[in-house]
Parts: sequence; structure tokens; C-alpha cells
Amino acid sequence: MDNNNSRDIGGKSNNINSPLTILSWPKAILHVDGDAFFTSCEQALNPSLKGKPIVTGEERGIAACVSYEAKKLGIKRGMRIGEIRKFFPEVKILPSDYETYSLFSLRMFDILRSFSPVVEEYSIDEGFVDITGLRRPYHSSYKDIGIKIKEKIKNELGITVSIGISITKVLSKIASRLRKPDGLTVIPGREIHIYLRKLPISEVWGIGPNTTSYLEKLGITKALEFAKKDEKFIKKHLSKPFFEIWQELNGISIYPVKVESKDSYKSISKAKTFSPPTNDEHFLFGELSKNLEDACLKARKYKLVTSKIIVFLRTQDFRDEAVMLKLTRPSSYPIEILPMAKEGFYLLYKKDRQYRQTGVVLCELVSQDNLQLTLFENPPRIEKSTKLYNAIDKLSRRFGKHIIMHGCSFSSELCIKDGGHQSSAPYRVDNLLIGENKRQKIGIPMLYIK
Amino acid sequence: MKFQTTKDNLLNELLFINRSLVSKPTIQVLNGVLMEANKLLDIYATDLETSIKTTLEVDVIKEGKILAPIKLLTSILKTFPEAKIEVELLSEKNQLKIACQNAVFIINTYSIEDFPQFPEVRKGNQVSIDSKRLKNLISKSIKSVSTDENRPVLTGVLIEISNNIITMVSTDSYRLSLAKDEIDYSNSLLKAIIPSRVLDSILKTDLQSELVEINIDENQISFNIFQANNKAQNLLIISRLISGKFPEYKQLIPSSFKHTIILDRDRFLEVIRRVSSISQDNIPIKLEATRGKVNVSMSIKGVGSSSENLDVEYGGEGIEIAFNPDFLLDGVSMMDDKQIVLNIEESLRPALIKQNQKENLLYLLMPVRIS
Repeated sequence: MDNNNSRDIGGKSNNINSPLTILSWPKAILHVDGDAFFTSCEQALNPSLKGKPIVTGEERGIAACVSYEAKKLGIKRGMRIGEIRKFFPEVKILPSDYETYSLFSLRMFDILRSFSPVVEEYSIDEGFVDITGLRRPYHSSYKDIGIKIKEKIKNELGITVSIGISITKVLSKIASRLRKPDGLTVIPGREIHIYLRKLPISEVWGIGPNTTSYLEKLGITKALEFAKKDEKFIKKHLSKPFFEIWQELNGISIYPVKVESKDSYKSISKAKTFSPPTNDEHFLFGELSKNLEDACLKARKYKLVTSKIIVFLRTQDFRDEAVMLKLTRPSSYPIEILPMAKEGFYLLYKKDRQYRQTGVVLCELVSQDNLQLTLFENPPRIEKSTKLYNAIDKLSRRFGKHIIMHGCSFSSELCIKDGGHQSSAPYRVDNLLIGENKRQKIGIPMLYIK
Repeated sequence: MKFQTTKDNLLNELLFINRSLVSKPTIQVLNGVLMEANKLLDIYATDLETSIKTTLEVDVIKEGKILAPIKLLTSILKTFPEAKIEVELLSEKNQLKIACQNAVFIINTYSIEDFPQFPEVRKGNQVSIDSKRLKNLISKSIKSVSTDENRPVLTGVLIEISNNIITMVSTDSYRLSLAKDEIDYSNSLLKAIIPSRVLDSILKTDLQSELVEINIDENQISFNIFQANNKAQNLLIISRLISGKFPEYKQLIPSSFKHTIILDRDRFLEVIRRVSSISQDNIPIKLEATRGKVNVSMSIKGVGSSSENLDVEYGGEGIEIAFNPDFLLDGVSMMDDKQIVLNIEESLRPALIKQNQKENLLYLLMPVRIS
């Protein structure tokens, strides 16, 4: 274990006023969290929406992101769009424009990288930056570096972020949540105990509802009570991940800031929600088949093959039904997997139900190199499929995915043309610049021009 | 019931039963072994899939029968020195008393009525084979048996008897092994899929050259093994068959191949073992045949590579193919002759390993696709 400064941690004193560590800045880790990221992006692009309650996720039928103004009205993430329309007619509801959000995300991480090369892209709107040792080159304190980052993001992107700075990832994540939106919180090592004293244990990153209720039974409800337990107690009652969280809370950095982007997967899942819910089996299977094509495309990109897939349908009342299917040979070609997926689909599909989402998960992914062939397969046919999908992949890279698709996926497209299943598209999709087409666009978010 | 025998005599039989049956049966009474003393001692045990009856010569003092927990019995016997033991039923409490020298154990037993009825041998389609030849057939054909319970037929070995030939085949879909021998049988085709577990336990018997009577009917197979020198001491194993359709193996084996390479079996084995000694999961071994030579090589990213040339009889054009090294080893070591034949069609088609002159052993192996 990486415990280079081999201090006695935890358990030493039950006095809640004694610090957990006497070192102020053995490391400095900054956590950036976008404030209502999707709606902030929308407001940055269309200033007339600023200060107004808005919600994104129209196409999914549930609120994906809720602006702070809308949160004040009592709207929460995950609420149904229909309900919001009914009870809060003043709220502006927008379809998600993921292309624009990911461009904002890209810019945000570029700004972070201009400060330090050690940046981890944790999610689209959340990241960690290792800023240890940057005080001298910037002639400023860690807090001032945080302020500079915030200002730069605000000036260049027009969105606000909340920042937490501390000596471990877990602590910096706690810090960024303390003041939101547009906040900045700094927790130096010797002040950790002050911040943890009132923090419910459930608010700590990595501690879920099950662990929370388990810890409650052990008499722990606050983060500080957890951090103050001695190593023996933690090891006796909890598994390794929680021992690591305990060390992080005590100021010992266990989790490194991971720079590299993902290049390998254990499983790949693709799911898509549509609105309004439907029970049209052709549309549903078309959606499923499109998800499968997407997932296989990604698997092929990373040179992986799957031998087990999960097919699931989500009903209107948010119940998931799933079935797991085993393939006779590992594959990443929809043409081989679709017949099984269809069988799975008809095991789940019920005519009298309305569905809002379909999805697939490719499990047990292994490298496509050195694949043991089986006696029951037909190598010439596989070589044919290989050539076919090499061509499809080439076309997709050039013209975008779904430029060529299986016939069964096409039925979902047909339904869109019939109108009804898909709601309005993001502004950017319907309003192209000169020279752009649906798949080839200039990589900049477009401002609304009135 | 009361009898005397030596410790090893009884223990060896119990250990064999233990090995052959499912170790944790779901029904408690299946943990028991039924011992019945008449003139001889009959021991019965079953896990409902496989049933075993073995007959031992012991000194019977009083006739009777008892159902005793087998695990407890074996662990007690294991502690005894090699000496005479006495086993007795204490009928008032239905307990079993086992004594050896000065040691005495008294253990509780199960009620005999709960023990399932022992299956009958239905004499219908019967063949006889020498146990040594049967063991040889099993050890060759069992190599490719699958462990994947999703496809039950592949977890068994197919047995086919017709025209005085017995054929046994297994495949896990990556490879197929087949062994043939002569047998005295000229009636209509006999066909069955036997669970590999029961064949495994026949392999583990220490029988040498005895006559084995095989009876096959719709859903069970029985092996009745008679001691050559002592007809009284025999072993009966009955197993249910696996239902389902075994793949049409004859269609999987190509009738002709483009390339034929003749190799020295032992040299080939040695080279495969040496070259694949750097092996890790999922890394194939590559064979490149050119005139008179096969280059065997393996290369692992970040570790290193190995390569060795082997002189062979081959006059064809250059061909390259890769295999899972363990599967290749299984196939080559399955052959008995000094000279073996490796038949290759092309890199992505199945290859066949067989003996130079005879067709009694075949091993069909699917290659690995390398990028």
C-alpha cells in the first residue's frame, strides 16, 4: 500500500477538535464540477434563457438536467417532462443537444489542461486536476489558482463551475459540493476535521445507501466519526475499497488522478430512450437493433468481441426487463448477433405494454486477436462478414454512424418519418450552416442569432 | 449383520465410490452407502445419475444389511493401521460398530427404506470388451469433452457400435477426438451419449485385463466388470445417458486435405512444449511449413518470443497456421505411433492429426485466427 509518510492515522484521538493530519498540502487536488451543466450550456448559447427556469431531456421524456432557476421551483432531475409541462408551464423545455455539450466539455478540459497536464476527465462535466507544486510558477495560493480557473471558464465559455481543492480526490469532491453553484472551497489538511464534522457519511464519494445503513448500525453517521475510527476497526468491518476511502478522508492520497483516456472495456452498453412510449414492435426492435449496431461499432473500434449479450426493455413505468443470451462464438458483427437478439426481444416483448427504452449490453468482451475458431462455424462466411463490416466501419468513420444500417434498424427510422415517436431535434441539428450536412459539421457551438 | 475383512479391502472400494459420485448430493440419504452381507459383501451407492454396485469377498459372520454415511466411514477407516477390521450392526439402536485392534467406533446409520431402488441391468443390446482396450478408447476419446453445461450433449462422449467396430467421439466445438477399435458385434447400430464423469471413473479403476459387459438401452448404460481370476469379485456401474443430438461428427471431418506433413511424434511434442514454455493465456503457437521443415514459434508482446525448426516429410508449398498450444499438445500426445500425420487445408480451416498408417485415432483441431 502506498503509505509513504507512514503516519498513525485515525483512532488516535476521539476529540473532534483534533486535526486528522498536521500536514497542510502534501498534495493538491482540484475537483471541477459543472453547475447544471447541460442547461448552463444552453443558457450560454442563448442569453435570452439566462435567469429563466429551463430543463433539458425533452426527447427522453424525463428531465436530464435542471437549471438552478428551475430547481428553485422544486423540479428535480429525473422528473417526467409531462408532469413538468403540466405543473410548471413557465419552464422552458429543451431537447438535449449532446453535440454542443460535449464541445463545451472539450473546451473546459482544454482550459484545465492549460493549468496542469495532469487532468482526469471523470465525466462530461466533472474532472480532477493535480495542481501540486503549482503555487510557485503561478505566484499564487492554491485558492487563487482555483479562482483563476473559475474565471477563465466563465469568461471563455460563459458557464459557471464549482471547485473544491484538497489533498485527496475524495476530499476535493466533498469540497466542491459544499458551495454550489459558482463556489470555491479549499480544505487544507489540518482543517479536514472541521469540514467532516457535520457531513453525513452518505455524502462521501463511494459510500452508497447500503454502506450508509450498515455504518449506521455500527454507530457511524457522520464522515468524521468514520475517519476517526482506527485501522483495525475499518479492516474488521469493511472491505478494501472502504479502507481506501477511509485513508483518503484521513488525507492520504490513494486514488491517483488518471490522465489516460479509456482504451479497454469489460462491457459496452447502449440504450436509448424515446418519447412518447410505444408498443410498436417493429419500431422497438428497430431501436434495439440500432443500439446493437452502435455497441458493436464501439466494440470493433476497440478490437473486442463479445460472447454474451443482455437485451433489455424499459416499460413506461420504469420497470426493466432483461434477458441474457450466450453466443455460439465470440463476435462483434450485428449480422451474427441479431438473430439471437431478436429471440431475446420476443421473450421480453408483451403486446399490451408501452415501452420507453431499449438497450443492449455486450458482456465478457475479449480481444478479437488470437480468437479460437470453432468447428461448427463457417470460415468463408466469417471472412465475408469481416470484409462487410470493415467497409461499414470505413463508411461510418467518413459519413457518421448509421449511414449504412441493417434493414431491421431502418424500421425505427421509418417510424420517425411517420412522425410521432421522436420529438423536436436540438436547434443545432435543424439549423445547419452553409457547407454543413447532417454528419459533417463545424466543431463549434452555434449562437442563436435573432 | 457382521463381517470381518482387511481395512484396505473395504477402504479401497469406498474411496472408489466416493470419487465416482457427486460429492455433495442434495438428498441426505444419498450420502449413505448400502452394505449387504450374504455369502459375499455387496456395496451399493448412487447419486441418481451414476449407480455403483461392487461385490467383495469378506468373512461373513452374520447376514444382514445397513445404510451408513460413506464420508464418515472412509475417514474412520483411513485412520486405521493395515489390519483386520470387524464391522457389525447393533440392531437395537440401528448403529454400526467398527473395530480394529483396540479401537472401537459406533456410528449412527440411515434408515434403509429411504435408499432409492437400485437400477436394474436391462439386458438388451450387449457387447463385451477387454477392460484394457475399453480404458484405452476412453482415455483417447475423452480428451475433447466440454465442461460447458450450456450444451449438455458436448459434456458427454458419443459411443457408436456397429459392424464389429466401436467408435467413441467427444468435442468441445474447438476440437474433436475420435478413437476406434474392433469389437464383436454385428447387430444394428448402437448409439449413446455417456456422461464423461462415469467414463472418468472407469479410467480410475485399477482393473487390468478383465472382461467388461456393456449393456445399452434407451436411457441407461451399464458396465459390468468381472475380475479375470475371480468371478465373484465384480463391479457394476450404471449411468443414465445424456439425451439430445450429438453433432454429426462425420460431416465435420474433411475427406481430403491440401497439405500433408509427416512428423516424428516425440520430437514434435518436445518442440511444442519447449516453444510454448513462455506461454500465457490466449497466446497461440504458430506453425510455418516449408519444404522439409516446420518452424514452430510463439511471440508474446512485452515478453519475448521463441522459435524452433523441425525436420519433417513435406513437399508442398508454404503454409502458415496457428493453434492453441494446449489443444495441439492434447492431439499429438493422443497418438500412439512414432510417426504422425498433420493434415492442413488452409489457415482458417480445421486441421487433422492422425497416425501414419492407421485411421483408428483422429484429432480434428480448429485453428486460432491471428491478425
